[in-house]
Amino acid sequence: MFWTIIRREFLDHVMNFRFFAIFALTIILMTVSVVVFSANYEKTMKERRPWVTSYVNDDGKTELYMAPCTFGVIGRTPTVLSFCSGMAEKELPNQAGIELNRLNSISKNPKIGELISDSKFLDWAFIVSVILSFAAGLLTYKSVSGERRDGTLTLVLSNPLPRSVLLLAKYSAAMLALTLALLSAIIFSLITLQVIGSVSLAGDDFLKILLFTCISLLFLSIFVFLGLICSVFTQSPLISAVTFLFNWIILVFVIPNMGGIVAGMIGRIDTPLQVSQKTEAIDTKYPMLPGMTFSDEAQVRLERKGAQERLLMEYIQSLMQQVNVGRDITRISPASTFSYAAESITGNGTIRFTNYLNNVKRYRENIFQAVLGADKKDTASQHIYMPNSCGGDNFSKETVDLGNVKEFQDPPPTSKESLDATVKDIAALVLFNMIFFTLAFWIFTRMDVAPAPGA
Amino acid sequence: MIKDIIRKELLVNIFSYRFLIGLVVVIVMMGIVGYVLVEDYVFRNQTHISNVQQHTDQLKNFKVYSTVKTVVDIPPSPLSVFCRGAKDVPTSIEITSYQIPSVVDNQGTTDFIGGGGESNRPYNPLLRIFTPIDLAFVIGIILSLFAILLVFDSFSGEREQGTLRLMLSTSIGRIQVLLGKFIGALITIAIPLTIGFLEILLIWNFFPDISLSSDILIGTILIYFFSLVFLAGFLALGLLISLFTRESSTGLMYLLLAWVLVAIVIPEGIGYLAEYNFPKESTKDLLSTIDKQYSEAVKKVPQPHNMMIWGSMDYEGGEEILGINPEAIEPRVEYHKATYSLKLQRAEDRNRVMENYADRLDDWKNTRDALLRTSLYVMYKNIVTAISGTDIETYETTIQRVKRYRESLVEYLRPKVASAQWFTRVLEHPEMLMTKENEKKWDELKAKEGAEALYKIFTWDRIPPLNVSDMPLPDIEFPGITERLSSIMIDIAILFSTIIAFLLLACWRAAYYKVN
Repeated sequence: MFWTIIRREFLDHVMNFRFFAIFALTIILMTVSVVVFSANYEKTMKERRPWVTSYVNDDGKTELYMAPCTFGVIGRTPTVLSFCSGMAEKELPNQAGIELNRLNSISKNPKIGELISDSKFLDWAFIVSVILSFAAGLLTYKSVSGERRDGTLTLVLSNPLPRSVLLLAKYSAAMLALTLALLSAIIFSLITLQVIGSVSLAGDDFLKILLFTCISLLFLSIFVFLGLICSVFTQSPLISAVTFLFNWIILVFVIPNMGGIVAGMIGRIDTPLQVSQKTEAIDTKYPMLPGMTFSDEAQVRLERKGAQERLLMEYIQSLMQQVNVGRDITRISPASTFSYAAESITGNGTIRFTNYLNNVKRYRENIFQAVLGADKKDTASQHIYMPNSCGGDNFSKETVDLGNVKEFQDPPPTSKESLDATVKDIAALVLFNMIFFTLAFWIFTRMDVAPAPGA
Repeated sequence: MIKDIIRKELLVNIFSYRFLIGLVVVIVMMGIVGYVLVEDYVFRNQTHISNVQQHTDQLKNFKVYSTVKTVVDIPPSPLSVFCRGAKDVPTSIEITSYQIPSVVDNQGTTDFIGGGGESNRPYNPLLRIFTPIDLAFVIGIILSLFAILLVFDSFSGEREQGTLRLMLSTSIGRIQVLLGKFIGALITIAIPLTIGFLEILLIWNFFPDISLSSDILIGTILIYFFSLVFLAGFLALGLLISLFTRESSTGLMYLLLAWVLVAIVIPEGIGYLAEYNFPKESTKDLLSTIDKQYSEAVKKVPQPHNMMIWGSMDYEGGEEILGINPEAIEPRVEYHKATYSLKLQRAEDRNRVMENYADRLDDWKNTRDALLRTSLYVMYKNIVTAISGTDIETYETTIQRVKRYRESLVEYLRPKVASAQWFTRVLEHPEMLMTKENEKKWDELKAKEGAEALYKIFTWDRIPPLNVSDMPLPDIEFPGITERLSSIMIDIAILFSTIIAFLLLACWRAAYYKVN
């Protein structure tokens, strides 16, 4: 009986025009997302300038005397899975300026002409959270209220069939239809991606896409339950549609978009004025005393630079903290929770940004230590590293090969790391599912199945 | 009779469940979003005022002509509460003779420390990862859905209940019923809209910094009007679909699909698809060729002696020299005369490259916008952005005017290059001339009072600023509301014709509608 209902409902969904429309829309949008992304990705990777420090000569060797006054910029590149959930990528800082002894700036460098093109990044997470969650409502809003109005509900329940099974069957049928749409769209666009060929995915990436698909289904299941709740709760399909839509618009549009406003109101961060005062305070904390020796002066300058870097990192941390406050508050909506989960599972967005910052810092420290180490070996040098000053007898004049240290590595998180970062959000999605399931179940087992008079 | 229908529709709508929820959502959203955006405007306006002050002071402080630069500060638009508009539009444009401002300029990087200047208001650029919302979003997305929900069953629903037959058995014409329903729904939807706009007026009142000028009021009224027109479009579409479907739930489904298409799929999908064809940036190589040509040309100019000057400061193209040997002045004037025209030439050349790219971008944008105009929501957004003055076209017009102003500035500066005041004021202060006698005097002073004493002679502080009262000032007239409206006539025309087409189609359909 259970299977009969599922089959009937599933066929009902699939044969319907609304399913066809959703199916087509999802496939088209996901493919557009992939096609445009791969074209832009190719361009970005081509224009990307590898980080070559000015003190590295053509043989790949390092001229040590140039090291203390070297500045450089390390760009952040998008991951190959940005098409899954890369919306935040566009807004996050994309470059870091470093000297060997400190990280001195983190900034966002717009591409030329960006003022003219202001379109949003269309990623899969957006398509799932807006289009498919909407589809979940379209498929379910009539499923109980419609049958009740037509009187077929009493008929179905006259069978030896517990109400919970009926509800589960309706849920499964809707989920099956959504899975069909989602999987076909994902497979179709992945094939397109392979055909275009400019983005090559590795095994780990496929694993991440699989996880993304699972999270998407977990998310869609919440909206199927929501649709069922609305359908069970109301007298007529029309009222249930209206109820669903208001819930949907609040969960999918209102709450996620209010995050920035709420975070700006609640989260506390230093004002630019306070930050610049703190920066000035560093110089007083590490004063340059008259009569200092050259090596003491170098020491003080290094300490100042170190303190400046710590201040910058702390400040960025506090900014991220404020973003997280906003995110935590918007997590009351499954749509937000889903998009954050999708972001961390595919290794994009804030998790990627934090990793990048740490990688830049580690890279800088490594290269700095390597330079200092190479200098130690040079007996002709006085081993005094004076920031921002090149030449002189204080530092080695040799040319050495630093080896692998000079390559900046910024790998995307592995699927295990991403999964670890996502556990909290997945748990939240499961919790949402349970709450909505219980609600739907509780209301349905207690409802009056007779058609409402006048409905 | 039509009045009765309007009254009935209005009452039915107002006492419905959907109206109540919609009203609450819209009022709350408009209040919160409106407050946040108005506060943001007030802050930006304060920054603007202090910037203007600072830049005006700067005008009184030029020591030599070569470093003269002016800054145009673009005031924030008080109507930005309705639409935040284009992102990252610069608030100040710097004008020198060495560079011509351009729309496609790399707008500079947003720095995380020092990015907010010295302001005492928290500034977190990371918050941009949350989609910013404005009132155009609340009206365009939320209120439009609300409009659909008001009318999706107006014919099919009444037919299902059998009341439509009843109504048509009276002497009322079908068209009258249609118009009655349309106007009734329009009045209903106008209620939350009006309350929302009143909320904004109220919020404006809370902030003493905002003076409600006639421009703001006219803009607000226009935005209100076009919001109503836009919502009328959705109502007309709703009525149309309601007339084409037998069952109201089917009608609702079609309408929702149409809404998803208009409000989400077309704006996001086509907007993103267009990125595929985004004109490849080609300026980098061309610009570096121009720079190379320039530096080669400069090399050919006889170089002046750099040994005979004291306290020189080089600004991007300009030069300030405190002390100079009298013999070195003439060759240096000649040098500047020769290089200044080269610098102007370079600015023109660079500008040509940028303009070329801007033109290509414009073509791309026009094609994209034409495709996007298939969506009512996009047209509405274009209209509101233009009226708010936060659109990219307003900025482009401003840039054009700034360019014209720059020409007059260059005209003013060009003759000055022939005088020594271009780079030094030493002729008016002969005590800084590096003559034999002076040098002897300095040596004596140094021996007597130490090296520090020389700084008292060689300082810009002692030199009074240039008299530039005849210099053309950057008195840019920012595009007014009428001018901004003219750029969106096409959107307005399409919006109106779509609605009329919907209504006509609905009338035609209503005439043939089978009521049983």
